[in-house]
Amino acid sequence: MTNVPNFQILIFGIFITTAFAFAIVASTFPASLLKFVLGLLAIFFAVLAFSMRYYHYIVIPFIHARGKAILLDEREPFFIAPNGNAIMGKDGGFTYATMFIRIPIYSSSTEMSEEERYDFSKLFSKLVSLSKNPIKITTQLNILNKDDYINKLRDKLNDAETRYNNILSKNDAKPEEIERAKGEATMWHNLLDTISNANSLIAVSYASVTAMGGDDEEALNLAMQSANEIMAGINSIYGVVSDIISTPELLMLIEPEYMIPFSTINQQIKGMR
Amino acid sequence: MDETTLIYIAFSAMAIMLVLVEATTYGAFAAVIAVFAIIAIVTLLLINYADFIIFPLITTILKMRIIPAKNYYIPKEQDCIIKNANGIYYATGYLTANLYNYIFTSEIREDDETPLVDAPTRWERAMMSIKFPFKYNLIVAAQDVQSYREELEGKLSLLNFKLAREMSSSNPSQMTIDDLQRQIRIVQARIDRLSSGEKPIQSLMYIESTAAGVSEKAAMDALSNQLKQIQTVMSGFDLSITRVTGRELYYLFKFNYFIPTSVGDLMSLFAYQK
Repeated sequence: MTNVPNFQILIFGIFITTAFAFAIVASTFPASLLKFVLGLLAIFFAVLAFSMRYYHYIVIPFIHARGKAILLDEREPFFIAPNGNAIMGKDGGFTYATMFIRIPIYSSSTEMSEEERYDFSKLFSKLVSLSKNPIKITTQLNILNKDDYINKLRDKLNDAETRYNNILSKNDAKPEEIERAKGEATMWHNLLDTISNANSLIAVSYASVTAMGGDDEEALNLAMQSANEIMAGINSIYGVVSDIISTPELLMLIEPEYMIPFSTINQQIKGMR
Repeated sequence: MDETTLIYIAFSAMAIMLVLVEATTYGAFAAVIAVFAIIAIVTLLLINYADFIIFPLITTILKMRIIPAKNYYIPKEQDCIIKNANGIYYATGYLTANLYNYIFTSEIREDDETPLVDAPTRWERAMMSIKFPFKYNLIVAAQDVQSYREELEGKLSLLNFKLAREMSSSNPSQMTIDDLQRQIRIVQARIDRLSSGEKPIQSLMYIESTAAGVSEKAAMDALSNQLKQIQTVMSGFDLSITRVTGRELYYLFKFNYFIPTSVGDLMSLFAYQK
């Protein structure tokens, strides 16, 4: 995840030594098919050695590949820290912890004067130079999770349709009563269509920082330390109160199915058919 | 090219050259081995500068998909990452968003505040035009001011030396002089910005978008449309936007969860796909 892994150097060393060995052995042979084969092997291993610069992570999985799939990792990409305010992962004997810090800025440029807009941009320049360790600053648009709202609308629509059917089944129902019940059912129907077929988006801005440790606790403590520094920086630069994003909101930042809620998209896909 | 890559390429090229210089001793196979050696050197350069073309080509030919983590896979085209959850396919793709080099801005519009004043409004307009999930990511780390300043001053001294040498030569080229003077102005402008309190930063920008569909193809097609729309919307910014394919896709997927703790490694991973 971070430093050039020793594995990369090791595997490069093996391949490049093999390449040189074949090249040297080939040079001692007289012209023959064997010399040619040895020369070819030297060239092949030299190219293979260089490709380890970028593809070292794929070599062993490629050798073990079954069928048409190269399995790099069979674990979940992360697990949630016990207190729910960080995600964690393990790689190469180290534990990594990432924390997400909300940047709560809700003012719009349309409300700002020219001078304020200039200052805002300058402040952002300060924000990006906050830390000597890499931080990721993200602005994200998510589809708003309207599952609960859509379910409520469905209930309302079902109630209205039941009422309409009950009225229709009455022999002495007045025409205006039928009309009102029909109008109500149509209203909920239209509202459900409008709400579920249009994307409502929500924007979130956040910074994230990763720390590496020997075990879970160390990684979490180091990540918390970095997150506190960044929060202090954000607070002083923008004069806001930032906080650490925890579950379940945290999942919305990293998992696609939370970014696009299931029932919302399901409704849209139905609408597209 | 960073130092590590330089070492890798130097050793690999040396091994190939060892075969190439001996090519005449291969008798009837001399020409063939020389051709193979030259192809190998070209391959090294291709892997270094265009592996985002080579790698997807290989996986497409072999029809191989990569599984980077549980429930995720990278299809053979190597242009997105797919997750299947609750029977819905979610395809995530990436675009590089490299800032164009501000050479001309540094040179002629040093004190012009217009870009900074316009930036928030332009950003908001872009955000309002996008109607699907997306992320704009900026990985940054402040550089050490002193070492960066020393680096710039070293560069400035070298440029001044080159300029003095060109001007004192018997047949000075006006074009070279103009070019060197322009480069000196750029470096000087950067030194002045450091003196005014600005901190140098290393940065990597990329855009991510996710699309959903009832099938893998539907999700991938929707993603391609979304990425095209983002490219159009962001074209108003000084950004060079390219779709990410191949190896870098895997690293960007990992950055969703954990970012590198060293800027050097980060930069060496993303040197060429611009």
